[in-house]
Amino acid sequence: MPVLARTIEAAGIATVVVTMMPYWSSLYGVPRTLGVEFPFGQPFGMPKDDAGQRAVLRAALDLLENAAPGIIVAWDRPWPQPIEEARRTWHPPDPSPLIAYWLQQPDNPLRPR
Amino acid sequence: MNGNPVPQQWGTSYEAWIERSQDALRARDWSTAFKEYPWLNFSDSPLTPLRHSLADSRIALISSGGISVGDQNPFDAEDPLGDHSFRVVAAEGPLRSWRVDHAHYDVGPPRVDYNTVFPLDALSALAAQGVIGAIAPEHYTFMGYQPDPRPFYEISAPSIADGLSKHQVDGVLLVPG
Repeated sequence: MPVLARTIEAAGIATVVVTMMPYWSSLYGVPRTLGVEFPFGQPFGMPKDDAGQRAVLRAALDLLENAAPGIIVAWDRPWPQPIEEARRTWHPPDPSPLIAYWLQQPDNPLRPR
Repeated sequence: MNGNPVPQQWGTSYEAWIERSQDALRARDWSTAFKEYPWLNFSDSPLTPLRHSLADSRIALISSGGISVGDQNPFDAEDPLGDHSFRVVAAEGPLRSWRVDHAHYDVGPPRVDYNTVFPLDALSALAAQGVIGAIAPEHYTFMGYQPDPRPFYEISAPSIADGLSKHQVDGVLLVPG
């Protein structure tokens, strides 16, 4: 997804990436990033939370209009459940390739803080 | 290919990796398979300014969450080499029927409400409020697991970019699962 931004920008169309993996954007040179460190499968928030989903969307659209190149903005509203519970449940039993890779890195950004 | 972001020499690294990793891939041992994967990286951040104000812009969504709608073929979540195809979602929402196929994230929430990864209804609501000028007539979905991204960037991505240009889209939200 971060790489696709380059193709679309090359076609003359502005992009913003909304992602749970904002650190990846710095490697891929993403033009504009809204980092939403919510569970995978829920970057816009919980199912049926219309107001929450619209709030994340509006923040992403604001970046589309106003961001400087390469900017990564962190969404600062907390996940509405205890985060440790969410961390346990948001991944499938086998970690995805990206997650498996990061778990092996000494500077693993997925380490609980 | 114009706009293809994958450097030609990357293929050599990929072929060496797949040679070493094919057994682990088939066994779905992702930790071993992707230990030495040649991840792409770029040192610059290209930026195309939004041509108009947001209130005058036509906005589209692209989701890599593995969503297909109606009677479209579902994405192949089982192939350890991924699925480079994409689907066109020509709707403003609400969607009456959709599927979510992706082996690498918890697809439970978007099966209940696709807006968690593909906020079509939310975007329609913002168009109705005048926050954006218009919602694009087409949106695009694919499955964001592309160990060899070349088929996606040689075949699917240019078609998606052509569709966006054809519909005079000004801005795009890119959302992973």
